[in-house]
Amino acid sequence: MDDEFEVLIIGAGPAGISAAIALARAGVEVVVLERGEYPGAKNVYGGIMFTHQLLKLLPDCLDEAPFERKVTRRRFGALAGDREVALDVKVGHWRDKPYNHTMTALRGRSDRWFAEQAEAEGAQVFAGFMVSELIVEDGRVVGVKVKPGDDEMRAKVVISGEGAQAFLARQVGLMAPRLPQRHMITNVKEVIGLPKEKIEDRFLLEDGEGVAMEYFGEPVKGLFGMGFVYTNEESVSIGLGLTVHDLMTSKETLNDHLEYFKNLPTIRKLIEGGESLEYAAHMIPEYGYNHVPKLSMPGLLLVGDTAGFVNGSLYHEGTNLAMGSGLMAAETIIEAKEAGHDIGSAEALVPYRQKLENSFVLKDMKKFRKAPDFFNNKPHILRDYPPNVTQWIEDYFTISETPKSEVERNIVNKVKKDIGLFRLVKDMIGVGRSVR
Amino acid sequence: MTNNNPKSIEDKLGLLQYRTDEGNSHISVDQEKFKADPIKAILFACPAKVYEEDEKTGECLINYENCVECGTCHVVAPEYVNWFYPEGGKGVHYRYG
Repeated sequence: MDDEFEVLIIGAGPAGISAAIALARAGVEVVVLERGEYPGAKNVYGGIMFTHQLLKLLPDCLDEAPFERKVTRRRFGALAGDREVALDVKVGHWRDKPYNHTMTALRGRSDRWFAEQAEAEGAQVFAGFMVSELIVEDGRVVGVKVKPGDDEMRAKVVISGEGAQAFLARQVGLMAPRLPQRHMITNVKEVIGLPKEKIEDRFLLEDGEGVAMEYFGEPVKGLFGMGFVYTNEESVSIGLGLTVHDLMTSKETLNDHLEYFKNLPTIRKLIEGGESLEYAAHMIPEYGYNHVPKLSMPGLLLVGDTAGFVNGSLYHEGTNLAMGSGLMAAETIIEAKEAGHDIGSAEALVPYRQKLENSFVLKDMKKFRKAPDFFNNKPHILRDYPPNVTQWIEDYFTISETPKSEVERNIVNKVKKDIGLFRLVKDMIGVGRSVR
Repeated sequence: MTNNNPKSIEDKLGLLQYRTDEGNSHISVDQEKFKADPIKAILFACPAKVYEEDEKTGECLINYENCVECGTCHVVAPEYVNWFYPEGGKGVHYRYG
């Protein structure tokens, strides 16, 4: 076929564009199809760009990339009523390059810039084209159907970076036909405009520094999910997410949950006086290592969210796993081409999974493989611990004439009553095991 | 709160830009199965109020032009919600993301 491309990539997100840059640079003919009007127009996430894989591709890009702030402070808070108990980590030298590989970014700008880098390397990026179907012949993906127009495009290999919905991966049976309600998390987010100085004063930041704050407990009323606040240059991204299962149990809309979170006494002041710029919703596929789909078939590789490459745990990494998987997909194809193999054959694509297993992508997901099922099976952990633990700590710091020894005895009695010592130990071991 | 700070979902959707595919919905619902569902979770689980129940007929009204393309609805009710992406270039158009 004379109009057959070597590689066709679906989706101009971090995964697809990383693959496109690496492939184009190695002289592989590559075309990217993006359904948005421009790359980034459909792309939503919480707000952190983890950059260590990006820097492998574009080592000097941090000065020119249209990112927002260097994250020098991370905060993990348990909220209950009007109480907050937090782990607050601030490291001064994270403001020095490469900024702990953690920057806030708004995808409408940053994904567009990233796709331009792929074009500069010689990849062709076509925006406004939605892939509706994979074309399979004799058990091999040989191309795609595109809308508008019902045109067909053929390629030796298709890389699907379609995103969390993974319609195409499900179409060809690499995943179960239905997405799992306990592992798909729906997030809503508002971007709220605030002046730069106000953000830096409110969040105790030097010029250009940012913060990533994540909240458990009250924001999602003890369900499986969390709230977040991330600072951009002149806006704050605030949002929360819940598994579809728990969203259905809650019987409330995500906008109601979000308004509740925004108006908590511990949160309200952070966004006060701001102007809402955009509301967005998006899903995160937190399947975990044990439920990762089959990653390839002849003529097809899955990258990024399509394959569920998300490190849920406390790290909440996604963009770096997406970029890493895109890079390894490209490497797999480049090596097959150099060896003179048919780059879409089953044998040529086998090393992809092994590369991922040998890298942070699947190693990290493997380390935390028990966490998604653990928290789903033990809903009392997220429901009962934030209110109780913060209460014990409030009691400990309450000043009165009650002798401290009595205060401590009372707290121990409360622990016994609220959770039980045996259960507390058992839960702690369980949490420990789920992240080991 | 001022207008700068919308609370209702209607006002928040008003902040968004859309390239609506007029007359061409990317969503369909099996009405009989919807009516038979005692919970009808899509009515509240959709974060963009796409689905509403017609009080007279009990049918599901589909405001597809509101859709923010998260895909929650077909994870909630795969038995009767048929949701797919709008055509290329159509649908919600995020500026910040």
